[in-house]
Amino acid sequence: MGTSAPLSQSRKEVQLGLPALLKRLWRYGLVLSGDSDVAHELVQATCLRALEKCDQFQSGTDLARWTYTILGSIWKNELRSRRIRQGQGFIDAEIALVADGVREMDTNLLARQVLKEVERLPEGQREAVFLVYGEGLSYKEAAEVLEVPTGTIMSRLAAARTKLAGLRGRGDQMIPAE
Amino acid sequence: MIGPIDSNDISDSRLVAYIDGELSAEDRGVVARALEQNPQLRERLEFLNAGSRPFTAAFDLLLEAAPEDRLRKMYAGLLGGDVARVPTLDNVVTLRPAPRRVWSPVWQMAAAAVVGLVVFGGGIIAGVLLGQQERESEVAVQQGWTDAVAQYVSLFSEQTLAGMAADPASWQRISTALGMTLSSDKFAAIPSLQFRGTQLLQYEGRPLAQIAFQSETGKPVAICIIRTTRPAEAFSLTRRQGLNVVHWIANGYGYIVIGDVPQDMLTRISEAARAQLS
Repeated sequence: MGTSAPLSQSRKEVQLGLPALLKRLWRYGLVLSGDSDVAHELVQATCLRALEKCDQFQSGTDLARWTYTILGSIWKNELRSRRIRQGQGFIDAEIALVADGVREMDTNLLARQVLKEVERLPEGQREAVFLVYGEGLSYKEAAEVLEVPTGTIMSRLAAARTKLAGLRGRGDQMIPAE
Repeated sequence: MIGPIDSNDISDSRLVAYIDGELSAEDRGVVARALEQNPQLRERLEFLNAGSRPFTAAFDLLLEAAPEDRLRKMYAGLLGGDVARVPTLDNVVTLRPAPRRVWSPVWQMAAAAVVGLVVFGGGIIAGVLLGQQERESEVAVQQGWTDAVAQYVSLFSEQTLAGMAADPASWQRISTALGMTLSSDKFAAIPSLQFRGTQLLQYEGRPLAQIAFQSETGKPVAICIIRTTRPAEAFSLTRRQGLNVVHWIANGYGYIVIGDVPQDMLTRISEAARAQLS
């Protein structure tokens, strides 16, 4: 870097906007790969690609969705073929729990339980659940990020819900601590 | 987008879209009527709803585990610069609109959705109807930002103000994000306000600039700016979350001035701000 030429508006927006997204991108990478080092690699590759392609980013549109699409595509086209160690999940000792007191532990126990269930979902369902229920994207937005038809998002969410409903009783009740 | 619906054959996909507030008003009505008439369909809906989980809280746990320092170092390395110049990753807060997906007994929701009545007072049914709004509705999104900002600002204290970024780089950041020139000069002449700091927020994927002040009463006042496609709107004065709010739209930007200060003070501040920003 260190060029004296002024940065384009797109470059500025991407460069300034990426830091705020790094943790969320890492999380998405973790949900996809189940491996925190691979997640880090995905974020790095995504940032490089986003900076390279910044002129394709339309100023004022959602930078998060644009970069998620890039990350998903790098995962599918480049990194997924690597053999990820079997049995490795994203719930492991590296996930540090913030436990100030008993109530905090209960909340985290339930959250960890949910993560274990999500982890067991097939990739397509897992991604749809993450983007729609975790990140709060609409069906249409999630479909754009994953580059699939909206109907695919709907059927994946239905399949995920069916699986999760079968795992336990009514989902709207608090699960007692085990 | 989702295709025509057959009331005699409502798939799990449709039911999930119904639960998630993703159907058009018309399709919602079709499903609601079918649910009223068909007990097996109601059972199926309950089953699919049993597949709900507190996903947001669970995924937030992963966010907490993200290796912030390592990520910042990596990013700084990509730019060939030093880590200190990469803002800390929590600097951008994401405001969310009111929860879209609120569950309530099927037949009550179905009745309200079909007949369009707001039977119960205040919060609960409003929440349900909000959940049932079409996501494509730009008006709903754009109106929602006032509520989201009000919720956020209502939590402000004088301590919050003390923690804000007031340096030139922070002005540059919000200027770039909004595509307009914002600087401390523009706001220096506004009566009754002392500048405390700026913050870059996000709402519905769009950057939202917040410029925070301490008013002469000691209470925080915030001026918020977001891009909008809605046409110009004159000043409106309302109350949200116990705060007074002035809102207007001009030249492709929505503006909010909000604070726990008297209405006439807020109006004077807003007029001065608008003069500076146009």
